[in-house]
Amino acid sequence: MLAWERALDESPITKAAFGPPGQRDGPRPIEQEWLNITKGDQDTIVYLAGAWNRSGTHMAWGLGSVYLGGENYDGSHAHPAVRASAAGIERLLSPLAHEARVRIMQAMYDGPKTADGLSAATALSGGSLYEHLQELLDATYVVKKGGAYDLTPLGCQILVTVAIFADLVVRDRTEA
Amino acid sequence: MVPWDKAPITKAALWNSLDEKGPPPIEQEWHGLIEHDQDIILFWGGAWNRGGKRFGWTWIGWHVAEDDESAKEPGEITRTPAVSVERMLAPLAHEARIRIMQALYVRARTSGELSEATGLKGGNLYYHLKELMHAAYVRENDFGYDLTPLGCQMLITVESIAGKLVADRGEQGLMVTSGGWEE
Repeated sequence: MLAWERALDESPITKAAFGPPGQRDGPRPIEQEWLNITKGDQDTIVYLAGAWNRSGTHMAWGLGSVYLGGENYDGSHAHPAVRASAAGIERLLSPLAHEARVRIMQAMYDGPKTADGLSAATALSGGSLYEHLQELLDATYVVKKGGAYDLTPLGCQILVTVAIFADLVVRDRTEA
Repeated sequence: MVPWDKAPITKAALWNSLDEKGPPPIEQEWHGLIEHDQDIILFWGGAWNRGGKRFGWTWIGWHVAEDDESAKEPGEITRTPAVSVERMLAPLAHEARIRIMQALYVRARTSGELSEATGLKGGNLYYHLKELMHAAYVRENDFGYDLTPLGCQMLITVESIAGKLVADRGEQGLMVTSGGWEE
């Protein structure tokens, strides 16, 4: 058994939700539960939960959206996913939908960096680096403390989430 | 109202995240596992019912170093190619394309219906549809256009993040509404 499988085996709540390590034929227990309760048209459940250790600081967050009311769905009310401000989603994602800015954020993941440190890590210099940093500061994904730049907890949450999504999602699709 | 009596595992694992202060029970468990610098656990899952068709998924990003030696290697987050993140998000970081996906969330639509729902016309609508199809978030079927499961997952997830994690302050940028718990 791998170390993470051992850890999973010794974590009763996680094991109850995801099933025993190494066993995966069909939906996981928590997924099966969700399939059972999304009975009505447009019913939706999404959960994101994460925890990280950055230089000894632990951070944990959880995020859940549950919409169950679709059993009598008659099309007269809008689903939350449909009601959300499309412009708000664009503003949330734009700063991150850019290779250079993701590289800047990745360079700060293991700790705060000065502008010179960022320049060395990303090969961006001068105006270009500052322009991207300003966008990330405006979006509150990055904060300037003293002479150094660091990720905010929000910046870290979003970076961790999109990096792992990209790793899971894009790997399957390559250029196609 | 969430029928928690029909979802005891969810309640035991995640209940706190909705109503109570402090990390959900499952994260308190993870707290003891992420002992090395750069350790990360991320759980992403959900389920939906669209027109009677159900889809559920769970993904776990579990990057926990096995020992002190492997903890010194670069972490998962810094290894992911930045261009992959750009490629995944660029199609979604656009108001008009989100409106197209929102219109498709309720059900598949023809291009005429999409045009009516979004106010986008002709070449402009088609351009955005092509971008979404290239990213595999939307597909064409006999009826017209529909979201793929991946497109559904991404739409409801970014909606959830945009709606819950941050408050959009328009031109003033984003404000964090849920900071998480730091120790």
